[in-house]
Amino acid sequence: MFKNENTKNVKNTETIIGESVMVEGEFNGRGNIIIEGKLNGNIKTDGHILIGDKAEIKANIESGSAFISGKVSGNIKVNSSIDIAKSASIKGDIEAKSIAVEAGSRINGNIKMNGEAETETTEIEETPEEEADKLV
Amino acid sequence: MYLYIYDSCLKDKKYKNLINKIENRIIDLDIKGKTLHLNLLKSIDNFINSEIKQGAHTVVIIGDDKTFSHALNDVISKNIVVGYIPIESKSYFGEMFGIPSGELACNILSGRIIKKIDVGKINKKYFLHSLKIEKANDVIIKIDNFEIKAAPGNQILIKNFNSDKLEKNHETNPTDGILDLFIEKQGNIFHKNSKHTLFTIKKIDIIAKNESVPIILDDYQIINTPAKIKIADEKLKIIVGSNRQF
Repeated sequence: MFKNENTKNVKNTETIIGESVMVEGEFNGRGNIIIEGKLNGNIKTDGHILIGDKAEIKANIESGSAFISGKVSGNIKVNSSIDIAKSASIKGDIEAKSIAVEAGSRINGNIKMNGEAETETTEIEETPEEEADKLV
Repeated sequence: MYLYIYDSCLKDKKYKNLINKIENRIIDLDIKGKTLHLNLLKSIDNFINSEIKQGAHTVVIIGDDKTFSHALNDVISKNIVVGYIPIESKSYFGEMFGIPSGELACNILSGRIIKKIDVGKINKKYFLHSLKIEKANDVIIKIDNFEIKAAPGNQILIKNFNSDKLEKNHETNPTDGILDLFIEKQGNIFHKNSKHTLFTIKKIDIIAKNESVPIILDDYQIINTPAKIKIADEKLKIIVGSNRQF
């Protein structure tokens, strides 16, 4: 599942922030975004955001969907699904319609599933695979 | 009426045969017009203005890609159709626009397939295919409300369209209304599987961190920072062949 997600929408990507680049400020993108470098500020797009395992993000993120395998310090809000890989480290709240978490990922923050009244607080560290599946 | 603008190098004897063939073909196709030889000290601006008043509708540049790019700055604002006769067998612009070199280009002129394409603008200069900054870490790139800084050892390319077949891994389109900003390791750009940075942009500012930094325009001219870069409001109306790449 996660391997496939990692290459999702790459062909239609309009913005790529490479490893050797640092972006600072309010970034409102159009379409799909790949981040392999550093970003400080806020990032917003209607499309898909892929945050690679070497990426370091200190920003609030809003997008249509997301795949996270790097470090994120900030809140993440996606309209549809978010996939969190084992190499991901997230400090912040996550809001999405569906969430997939791979065993080994680190999440410190609240997780809110869109459309549900209750807010669930979850901290996952070194989550066994079976338990991670239950979160989906 | 056509205006033919010749590169100054075409006065050289080695081009005599080629020029004869081109001029004969122009007569055969009944697309004759006035001629002017480019001169480094002479602007073609006044000549074009005066001829437009007398009914000229098409300016044809005869020369190499450098000549064409150079002449662009004098013709783009005139809202006149532009043609190109490349004199070198390897012409990136010719390939892009589907125009063969030498007298064969006259057939394309005569066919008059006209397309409007984007041009870029840096400060007051126009560029056709690209801008290049060799040391990306010497500058700060500002786009809307954010800034981009690159690590040492990278270069910046801002492209309206590709000027080389080697760059085909990255599709660019001169009619999409945007410029593509690439940041990649020096000497590595556009190699297959290269991990580049890409932003699609309409306008950006580039400022130097310290001393002014040179920006190479269309591979032949240098402009220094600070620079305001954008897709120009003006479009280039150019005569193209059916083998054009857009």
